[in-house]
Amino acid sequence: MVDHRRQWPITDDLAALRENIQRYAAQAGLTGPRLDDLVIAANEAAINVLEHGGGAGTLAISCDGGVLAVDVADRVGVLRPGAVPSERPSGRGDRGFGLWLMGELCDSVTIDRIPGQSTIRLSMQVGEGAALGRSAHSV
Amino acid sequence: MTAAVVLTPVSAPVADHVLVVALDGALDYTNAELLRRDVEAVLGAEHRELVLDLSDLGFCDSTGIRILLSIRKLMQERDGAVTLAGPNARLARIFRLTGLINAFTVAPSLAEALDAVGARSTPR
Repeated sequence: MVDHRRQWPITDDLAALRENIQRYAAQAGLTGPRLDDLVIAANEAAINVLEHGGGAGTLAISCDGGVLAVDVADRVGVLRPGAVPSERPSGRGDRGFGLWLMGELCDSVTIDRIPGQSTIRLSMQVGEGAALGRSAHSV
Repeated sequence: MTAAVVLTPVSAPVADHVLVVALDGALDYTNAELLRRDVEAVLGAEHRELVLDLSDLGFCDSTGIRILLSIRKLMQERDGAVTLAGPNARLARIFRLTGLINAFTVAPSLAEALDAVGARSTPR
């Protein structure tokens, strides 16, 4: 189990970022499709920063009390809490599509906003109860 | 930028209007547009069916999906179609989730994709 927080800048080297997330999450005990889901969701959050969030930000990952959390922060602060659509947006090009996808892939998605910074938190339960909690959702 | 997805034309025992291309790498926000240009570059005037072998494509994000849809549009404009072959479990999951699976013919393997394309084609 890992519990120390790691942080990386969000750049256009998304492949390296995905590898870092994958390695950390696997060590924290996330496996199989849920590991894939977190990597896909975190990648979407990073794209959001590159495309709409001013082009720069940070991704931090931590594991505390059986919950793996990925915090993706931009330096714009436009994204507001409650922006995650519950229904799939029809347009694939807008920001809502990536947010919707994150909501489908993760146990929870929350957005915090302070002036000049919005942070998306993607959470996944690891260990006992994780598979149970999401089994009805798996495709 | 993520390393460009490598396109390799595959010679397949199918009709001349079928182009089979294998994709290798990871398709994401940083290199997706490049893939569309590369596909356009290998498409000939005679090609009506495009088969993309995805068995070596390790990753595809929402931008990659957008590009696959734009490639589909490109083929539809010439009365053609795109078949996606051999997506791994991660790709298959995101294709299902995003509804992409309904927009394409998706075959579990290249062999099955070629069978499907062959069945659609008029015999020479």
